[in-house]
Amino acid sequence: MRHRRPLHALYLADDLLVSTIVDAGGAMDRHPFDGAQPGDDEIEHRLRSSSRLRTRLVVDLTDEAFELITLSARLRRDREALAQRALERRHPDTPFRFLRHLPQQRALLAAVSRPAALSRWLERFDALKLPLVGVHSAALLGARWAEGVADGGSRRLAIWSLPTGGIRLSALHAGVPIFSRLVPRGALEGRDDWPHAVAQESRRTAQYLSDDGQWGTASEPPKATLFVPTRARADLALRLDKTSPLPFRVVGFDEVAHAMGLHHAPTLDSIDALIAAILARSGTLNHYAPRYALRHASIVRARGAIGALSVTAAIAGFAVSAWNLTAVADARDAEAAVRARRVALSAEADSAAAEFPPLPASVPFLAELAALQARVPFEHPGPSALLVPLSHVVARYPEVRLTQLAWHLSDNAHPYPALHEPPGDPTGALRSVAAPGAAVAPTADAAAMPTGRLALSTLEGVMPSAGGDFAARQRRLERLVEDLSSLPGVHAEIAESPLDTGPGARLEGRFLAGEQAEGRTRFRLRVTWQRHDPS
Amino acid sequence: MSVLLSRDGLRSLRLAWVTLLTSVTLAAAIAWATGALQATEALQLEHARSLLSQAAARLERTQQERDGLPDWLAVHRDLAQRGVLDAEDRLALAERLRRLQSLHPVASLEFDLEPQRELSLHRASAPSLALLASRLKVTLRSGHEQHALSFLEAARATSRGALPPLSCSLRRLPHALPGQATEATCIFEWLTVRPREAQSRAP
Repeated sequence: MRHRRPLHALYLADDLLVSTIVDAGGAMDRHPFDGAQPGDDEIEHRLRSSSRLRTRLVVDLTDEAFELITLSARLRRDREALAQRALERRHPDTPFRFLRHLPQQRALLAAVSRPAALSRWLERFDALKLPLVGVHSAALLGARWAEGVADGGSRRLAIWSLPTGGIRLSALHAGVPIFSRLVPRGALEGRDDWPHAVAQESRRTAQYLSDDGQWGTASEPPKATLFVPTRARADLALRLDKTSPLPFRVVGFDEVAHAMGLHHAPTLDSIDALIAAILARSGTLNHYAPRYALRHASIVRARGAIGALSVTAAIAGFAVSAWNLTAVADARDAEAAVRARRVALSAEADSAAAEFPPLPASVPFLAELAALQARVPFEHPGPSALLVPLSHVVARYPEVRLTQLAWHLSDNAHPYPALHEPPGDPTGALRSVAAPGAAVAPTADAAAMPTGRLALSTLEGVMPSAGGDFAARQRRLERLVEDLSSLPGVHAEIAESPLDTGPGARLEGRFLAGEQAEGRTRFRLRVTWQRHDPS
Repeated sequence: MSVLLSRDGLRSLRLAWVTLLTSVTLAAAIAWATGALQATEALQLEHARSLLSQAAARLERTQQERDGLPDWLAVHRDLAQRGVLDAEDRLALAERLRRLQSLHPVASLEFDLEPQRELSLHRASAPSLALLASRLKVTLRSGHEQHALSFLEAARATSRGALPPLSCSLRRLPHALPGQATEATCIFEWLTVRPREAQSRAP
């Protein structure tokens, strides 16, 4: 059995108060007070000792009236107003009233008709600041719980054996309580047989309800169920069979508890113990308690909620703090590791620095000087590196005579250096007019400082016209270019041919009869020399 | 709610409210304090990592310097021997050219040495060094281009400081006097290197 929180259940009958404390495990501490009156020392001590437990008061009084009314209004809102007005009109002098709407436009009115029977206890509870969470009617609770063990039939009579020795008879129609009355012990005393007296009272109640029309017009006989302590169930069932004019069924309190889901309840010998066990497991609707009577419970609940909030805030704070402290610890560990690593690296760097030889200048100066030296051609070979081998190749062509050359350093393949323009055109019968090839550029300007990766050169030379054999002269020049290009790092090309026969150039001719095409023609070559880089 | 806000309710819940306030304040305070501590530790860790990066960079730089020092020293020695690290001595250059002219068959010699300037092209790779350059234009006439080239190579080889050529042009002169058939014109950059601070302090 699973209980949520401890409960202090008080069962109040006419001359009896039973205090039952159900702890979290479901164990009960039951203490009946016969002839109890508010202010009794023993009761006061009991209440004070349990003043921190949530408390439910269940009343089972003779001065409790139940009435079934039928409401003519069709709208629900009107029916509620009518029922409330009827409750106030029928019980104007008591604050302990309860209204329950039923199907078929009916309502059950319940009230403690003698308010002093309850109010004097509530005043005492208020003085003791008991956290009262509800005042309930045992008749209404019993009627509802009786449904749990019902075995059919629309008209039923539930008879509960009370610890006072009396009985409570509750009538149900189609599962709805419509009437209840308490027969005190005194009314049953003096009769020969208790079961027989119960049977007589039950038959009388059934007859009253049938005569009054509250039980409808069904012809079937009502079914009566007697709820008694489990230990007495078998004996009473046997004796009732012999005496009752009604079909009786006897049910033990344990069977009710089982039907309500309490499968491991202790043996229940009284209805107050049954009530305490069930209420400890699940709450129920408040019937009679006015708002002021519940204020201490509200305060206790609020105090509990605030306390829970406080604990939650504290736990959250500590959780965040623990998270932060964990992060702090991790950060410190990481920082220690980083620091150790830094010390090791610094020591290694110091060791490497100690291996430096004596230096003529600072290390940065030396490094920058080396970087500068790698980018600036402090020691460039100069024009001789190209021109000397080039002149050796030209020497193999005696008909060719170089007239001028220009050379410069460059980082790009263009432009080539410019030459001095010759004073006049070479003679020849056939010449190209348009200036072929790309225009040459002047030498490097003052702001430039090339790296010397390339050396560009423009050569100008002359060669004889070869007696009109223009093709032979052209082939000879192309051969010279090929020989020049075979030098290491050298690439040569014709910039200006003695005779450009390409389709893009203009060609003029002037041949006279008997005249030999004699003279010298000029050509220009472009030579690129790329410095050999060992890297 | 009205019960809780009544005088009796407030009085009864006073301790609970104080407890809640204390709890929330305490939780917030301790969370803030530990959060601040964590932030401080995170900053210190970040600082330590920064120092570690610097130490790693220093180690790498030192190792590179150790490995590169032999080459750097060789460069320094070479440039120092060639006078690249010395200041220009223009008078010595003029005397050297004059002496070379007497040693080579050069008929005429003209030179033009421009004012010294700083080349800023390589400042990124050598920010603390100033690369100074003076442009030297030499024009000479000789009987053969080989004589001209020999003179120019000798001028480069014997000068203090680097004297890389930028451009040269040679041409045969028609109708020239004997020994002056070839005219050569070359432009050199006379390069010297100075520490930038020393350069800025120089008058």
